[in-house]
Formats: sequence, structure tokens, C-alpha cells
Amino acid sequence: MERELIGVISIVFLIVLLLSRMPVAFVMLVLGMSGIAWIKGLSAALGAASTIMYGTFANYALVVVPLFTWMGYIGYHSGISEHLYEAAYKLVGRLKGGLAMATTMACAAFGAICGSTTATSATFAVLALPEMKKRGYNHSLATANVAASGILGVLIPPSVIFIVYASITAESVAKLFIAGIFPGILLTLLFLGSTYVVVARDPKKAPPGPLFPWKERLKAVAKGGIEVIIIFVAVIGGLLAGLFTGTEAGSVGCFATLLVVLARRALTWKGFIDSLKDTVRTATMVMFLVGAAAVYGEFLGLTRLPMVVADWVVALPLPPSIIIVAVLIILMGMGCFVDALAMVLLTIPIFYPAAMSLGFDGTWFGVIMTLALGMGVLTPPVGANVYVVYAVDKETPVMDIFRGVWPYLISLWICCGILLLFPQVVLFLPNLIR
Amino acid sequence: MNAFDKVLQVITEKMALVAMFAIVACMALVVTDVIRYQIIGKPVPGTHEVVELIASVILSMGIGYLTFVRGHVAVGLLVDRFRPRVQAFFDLVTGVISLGFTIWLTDGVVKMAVRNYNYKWVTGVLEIPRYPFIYLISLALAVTCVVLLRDVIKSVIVLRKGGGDGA
Repeated sequence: MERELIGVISIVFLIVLLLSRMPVAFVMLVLGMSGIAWIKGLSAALGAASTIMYGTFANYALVVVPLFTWMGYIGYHSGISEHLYEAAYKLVGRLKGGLAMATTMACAAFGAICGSTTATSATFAVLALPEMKKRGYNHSLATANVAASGILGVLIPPSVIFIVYASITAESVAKLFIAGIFPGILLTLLFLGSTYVVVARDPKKAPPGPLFPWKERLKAVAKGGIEVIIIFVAVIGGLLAGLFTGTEAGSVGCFATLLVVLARRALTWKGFIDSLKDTVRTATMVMFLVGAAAVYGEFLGLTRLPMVVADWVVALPLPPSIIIVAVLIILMGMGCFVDALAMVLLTIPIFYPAAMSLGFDGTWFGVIMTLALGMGVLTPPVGANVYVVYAVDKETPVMDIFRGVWPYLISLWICCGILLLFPQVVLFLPNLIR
Repeated sequence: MNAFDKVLQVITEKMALVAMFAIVACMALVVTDVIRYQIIGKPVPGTHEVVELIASVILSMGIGYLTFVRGHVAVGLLVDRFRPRVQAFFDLVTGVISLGFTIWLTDGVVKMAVRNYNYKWVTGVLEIPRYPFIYLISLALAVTCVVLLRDVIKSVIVLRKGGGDGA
């Protein structure tokens, strides 16, 4: 049998096994090992799988995954997220739709220490939803706003998806982190614009909150913002200045976060232990997934399917930008059904070589791919962020949240369009570093 | 089943504790290294390889706990809509497949550890033997196999009783 055909058969089995609720990591491990065994024999499959798994577990570049994950959990357990929300609330809460805007701004700031979209949504669902509901906000708008704003956590550095993308494609983590800053700010502004438009059309959906004196506002901003600024400057500033590498940034970020929260006496012993426990669970899940994906990727490489697809895509009589739009639509569609991280791991072996063959920049493609997957976590039927918000607030039906998400999805499309037309928005900062 | 569950819970939580300690150690080592080479121009020798070994401890010690708390990502889009018994059937089939391949992988990692021991393979700078860490990964995978076996048994129980909490 042709090797390419074996690759196609494996993709069919992949879909079947995924739909049978088998954990994604095991699906990729099983198919990867079976596929290698089919092509090269049983002992080769066993040798490859054990070597790849050990290589992933003992990988210097990937050790940042547990460290950046821990950084986010320290931020959560020490109340940094609460301070951020309070600061944003006092600053813009008095505007129509101000609380929703405050949530978006706080999510963007929290994204500077947390690299996960679901963790950001879950954190602010707990903090922001009760306040918005108390102020008479439309439930659909409030919940959709929290679900959408969570995406900022994965775009603004540090980002777990960027780390995983870099580890598979050999792109620079530091460049990807820095590349995410402008698109993250752009998306934040677009989300604020979406909220403004929704509220301008129907002001009853988001009545204004109380007006706080300027002194109180500035005090809250100083209290909530200073911690994140210190941590962000320590991590990104150190990276830009070449003081440490992207891999070391994880440790430095954790250390800076710990110093900040300990100086403020905000982290209890229980919070410290809980943050580590949450980190072990999340980081191991990510790393096992990455290892299994590497085994599957090794098999796909043996089938030569990624190269065949890349050659086929390049030969298409279409402009590269149209092909990239098609890739984005496919990613968005797939993201509706599968977790964002799993989707990255499943699609990179196929789409990355194709994008490179078309002449696109690897860093730019990583950012645009993350945006496309961000759309996936908001769209039915799976829409992970929507379900995370629903798990916190069971009063609002899932379909109401999905209905409220549309203005934010449009923002995501506009953001993608801007990045397609002006790649410099992504590449300007990374091009500044050596 | 409860006693079996409790023993597994204790084992996996103790392993997770080791992983938690390893994360703190990793951070401390890298920060010390960065401070040393930025201030006195002398990095901590062998940081790179020690971090790699610590990383293997973090992830291997966490995998049993992750599987015990069912923290793996799965797509429940279709199966979640079925009755508990049908769900248990799917979980049984996929659980047996996962268990089989994890046993196979464990075997491969044990063989790799034995090979490392026989050839006395060590790290480049500090010459730390690699085999204890590879044995640790195989031990963690073995514990994962036991947790997967528990899940398979739970699925069988749900199938036989015809309901209850899905496996």
C-alpha cells in the first residue's frame, strides 16, 4: 500500500477515535505507534515511541510549559486577577457597557501572566459575571464577553500555544511571544469596540455603573496594574534586552511573580500548594499531548503525507493569501470540535510545511493560527470557552452565550483580516530582536 | 473498588508532590543560573542537562495523577449524548486500547532504561547517569496503566449494572 494512503487512513481513524471520547493524547499515541509499526515494524515503533516520549519529557525547551503555567496559577491564587478587575472596573465601569469593557481590559492584563484561554475565561467568569448581573447587564452579553475576552490570555505573552507551536516548528519562542503583543492589543481594542457597538444599539443591555472619584480610580489602577507591569517588564523586557532566553523566561517570570505576591503577602501556603497542584495537572496534560503528537507526527513524516499536501497546496492555481484564508476557515471549523491545543498539535504537521512552501513567515503563521483557533473556542458545538463560562454561571443557557458571541467573532475576523493585509503588525516587534 | 481507588489516589498524589517539588527546584536552578551569568559571568555548570532531568521528573511524576483525576483532553461531542451504559461501552473499548498501548510503551521505556544502564550512558557535563530517570518514567507509565485498568473495571461495572455514574 502507498505510504500516503496509510497516512490518509490514519486520519480517518483519528476522527473515529476522537469522536469515541478517547483522550486525544492516547488517540495520537495509538495511531502513531500503530502507523510506525505498519511501515517499519513493531520494534522500530516501540523504539521510536519510547525515544520520542523520553525526548519530550526531558526537553529543555519545553520546561517553560510548567513554569509559565505556574506563573498564571500564582496570579490566580494570590488575587492578582481580582486587583486587575477592580482597577478596570473603577476606571471604565461608569460607562455604558463599562463593566464588560473592564472585563476585556482585565483579561488582556491577566494575559500578561497567564498563558491559557480557558483559565483566563474561568477566572473572570467568577470575578466579573456576578458584578455585571448585579448591575442589570444582559446575561447573553455578559457571559459572551467573558468567554471571548479569555482568548486574549493565549495571544498576549506568555502563551502555552506559542510554546508548543515553537517546540514543533523550531520557531523562536521569544519571537512568537513578542509577535503576540500588537495583535493582542489590537484584538483588545476590537473587543472593546464590539461591546461599544452592541451597547450603542441597545443601551438597556449594559447600564452604567457607579462613578468613582479620580483618587480612588488611580489608587486601584496603581494597585492592580503595578504587579502585572513588574512581572511583564521582567519577562518581556529581559527577553528583548537579551538578558535571558525564551526558555529561561519561564523561570524568571515565576520568580518575579512569587517575589511580587510575597512582597504583598498575598499568597497563602494553601494557595502556593494549590497553584503547584493545578500546574502539575495542566502541564502534564499539555506535555503528554505534545509527546503523543510527536509520535503521530513522526508517523505522518514517514508517510510523506505532509510534504505531498504542501506540494499540492503550492501547485494550486490560487494566490497564497486565498489559500491561507482557506486554511484559516478549516482551522476555525476544526476548532469548533476539538480543544485548541490538541488542534494545534494535530494540524501543524500538515499546515506548517504548506504555509512555509507558500512563503509565509513562521512567526506570523503561528499568531494567525492561534487567532483562528481562538475563534474555534467560541463557536458551537464545542466552544470550550463558552462551556467554561457556562460551568460557572448555569443560569444563562449555552445557546444564549453562543448568540452573544457573534460581535466578538466578527472582531476576530477583522483582526485576522488586518494581520493578513498588514503582516507587519505581527512582525514589527520580532524583527527588532536578533 | 473504593479501597483500590484510595490506594491509587494516595500513590498518584504522592507522585504529584514530587513533581511539585521538582517545579520549584527547576525554577530556583534556572534563576540562579541567569543571575550568576549576568552578574559574575559564570553560569551554574550543567544547568541545561539538570533542567532536562528535572523536567522528566516533573512530567513523569504528574502523569499518574493526571490520569487519576481524568485531566486528559477528550472530545465528548458525540458520546456525551448517549445513555450511561452506552457511554461505558465506548469508555471500555477506548480504555482497553489505551491500556494496551500504554503497557507496550512502558515495555519500550523499560528496555530503553536497561540499554542506558548497560551502556552506562551519562549526561555531557556533570556525567549524571540517565537510566534512573528513564526507570522513573517507566514506573510512572506503569502506575498510569494501573489507573487505566481501574477505569476499564469501572466501565465494566457500569455496563453490568446498567447505569450509575459513567465510567
